[in-house]
Amino acid sequence: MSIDFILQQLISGLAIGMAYALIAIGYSMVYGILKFINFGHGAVYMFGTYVAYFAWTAMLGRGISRWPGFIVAVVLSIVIAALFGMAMERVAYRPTRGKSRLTTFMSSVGMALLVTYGMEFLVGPMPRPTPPLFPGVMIHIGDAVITGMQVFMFFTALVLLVVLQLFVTKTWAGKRIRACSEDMGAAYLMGINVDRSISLTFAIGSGLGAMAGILIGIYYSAVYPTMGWIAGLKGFICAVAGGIGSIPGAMLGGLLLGLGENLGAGFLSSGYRDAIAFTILILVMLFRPTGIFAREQRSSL
Amino acid sequence: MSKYFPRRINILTLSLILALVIPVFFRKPFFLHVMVLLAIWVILSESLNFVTGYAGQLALGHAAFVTIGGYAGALIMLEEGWSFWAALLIGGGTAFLSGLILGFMALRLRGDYLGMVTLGFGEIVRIAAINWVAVTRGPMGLPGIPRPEIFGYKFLGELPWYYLGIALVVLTHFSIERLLFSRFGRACLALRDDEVAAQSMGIETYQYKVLAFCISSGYAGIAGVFYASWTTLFSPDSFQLTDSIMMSVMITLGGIGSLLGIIPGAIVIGALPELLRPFTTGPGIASLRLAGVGLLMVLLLIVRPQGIAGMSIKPVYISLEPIRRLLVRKKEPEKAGGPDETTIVEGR
Repeated sequence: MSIDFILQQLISGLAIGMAYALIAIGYSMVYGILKFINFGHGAVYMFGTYVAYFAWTAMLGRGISRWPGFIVAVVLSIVIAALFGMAMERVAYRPTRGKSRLTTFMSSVGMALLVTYGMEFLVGPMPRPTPPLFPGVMIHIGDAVITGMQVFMFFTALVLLVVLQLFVTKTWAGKRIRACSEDMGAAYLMGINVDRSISLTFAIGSGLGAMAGILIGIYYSAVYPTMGWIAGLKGFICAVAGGIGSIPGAMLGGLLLGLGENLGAGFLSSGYRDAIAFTILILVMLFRPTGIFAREQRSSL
Repeated sequence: MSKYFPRRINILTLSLILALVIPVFFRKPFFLHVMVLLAIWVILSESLNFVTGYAGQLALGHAAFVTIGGYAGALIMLEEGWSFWAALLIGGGTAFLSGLILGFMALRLRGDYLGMVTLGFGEIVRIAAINWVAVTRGPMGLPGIPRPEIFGYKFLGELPWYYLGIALVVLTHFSIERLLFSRFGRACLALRDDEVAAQSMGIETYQYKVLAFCISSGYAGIAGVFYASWTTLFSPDSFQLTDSIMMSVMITLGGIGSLLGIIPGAIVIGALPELLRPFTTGPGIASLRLAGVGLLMVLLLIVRPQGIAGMSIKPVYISLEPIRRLLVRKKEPEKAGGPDETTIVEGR
């Protein structure tokens, strides 16, 4: 194992880890407020990616150049995914809210099935290649290579996470969300529109999920309907590893998973990449169920 | 003579009689093929219902135990030449032990967290089955798994498999019912309903949960061996994530924690793709079926989360009073006569 090889794995791990952190936000914020695991998040991630994919390739086909097309596609995809996430909450989760948390969870599993395989029915199961965003941009450090996409991924995700953290801690809407996750009943009594806060949470989570899907789709240069299963599970692993309900935690969890997965895959075999992620999940659940980085022990489980 | 005629019949006995008689009228191979598949689904849903319905622990990784059991059984038949019947036990036992390992680790968690961990375990098993080529032959799977044999009679064709499937379903249902009404089963029900109260009554909840999880996994393993021998091919994709979720939909439809509802639930969801087949053709059918199942699940949880049968574990009877009255009234004027006696006995 040369040092360059390890460096290479670290770089890939950092880039993909930040994208995982974006997915994790969707789980983390929804869990924080509704105390249930939104299994359908992976499906929204896939849906947003497809919206961007179709928008972007359609624009490229009409001769619009790479970057303007990409930006329009991203904005469109985030808006549509946010609306989609809100609609999902309204249709599938709100009617089951008063019942047990497991009912809502199973409802989200059903929703994931419906959206994923509905999409597969519409577009077919074959992976589609995505156009590159940074063709040929590479930075060489020894034998290790940093691609432009990795840099872009890392910094886009970082900026979005920082903006989100500021939004949640510094604005009124963010304060309302935090109040709801602290105590929904009390927030309701204080005159907060709880339903609207929940919708906003779903919109944010779904929008960031779509962004993560676009980044990962371009990074692996493929989109396919079942991409949301594994990606969604990995996002959940990050959220749990970092302590569910916390935004910096999601980021640290993402980095942990990205690095662990890439180093593990590098040392063992790339076929075991996903198995390593799930092993991390089981280990975290066993030894630090409140998250590796959690300071206080909350009884969230 | 009327005293020999039953006043009511257990709905299970009735459906068993019907199931035994059906092949006399419908013996198209395709129909029997679907019925064998349904038998596997019924066994799997009953096994999942044991841990999710009775012990109240959400498990979303049952496909993993089917895969483990199927591989264990198939390998012991292929490599060591053991018989199918021994392989059933080996498959079930292996799945039981792997359930023990996962259960020890995971059952400290509750609810949806447990669901996610078991789901992750399911993926680990699938990935291991794909990558551990030396043993599992990887994604190509194990071909040529032998069919069972008993006293020189080989199970070939659909009809013997249909009856074998029914025998296995009966065995599963009966043993699960016995377990449920044992001390162990009652303890499981108690810890599902109120864990703290069960604990204060002296039930070691953690151990009972692990045991329920193992038993459930064992049944799934047996179903895996059955499936492997029936299709003669077992691959990592035979049972995967979507199948685990399918089982959850089946028990949700049937009524999580019900004893009888599980069977119609499994049959309805299991037969869905076959019922849809005339309307949709082409490659989209698999996706459409899964999307439909997802939609059904969401609707069900909103409209009727308790499923068909709720949580009932009571036997259901159908009254035979009308038939009885019919037969008895006919006989009465004639008084006792030899031929009549035999007809009544036949009517039982």
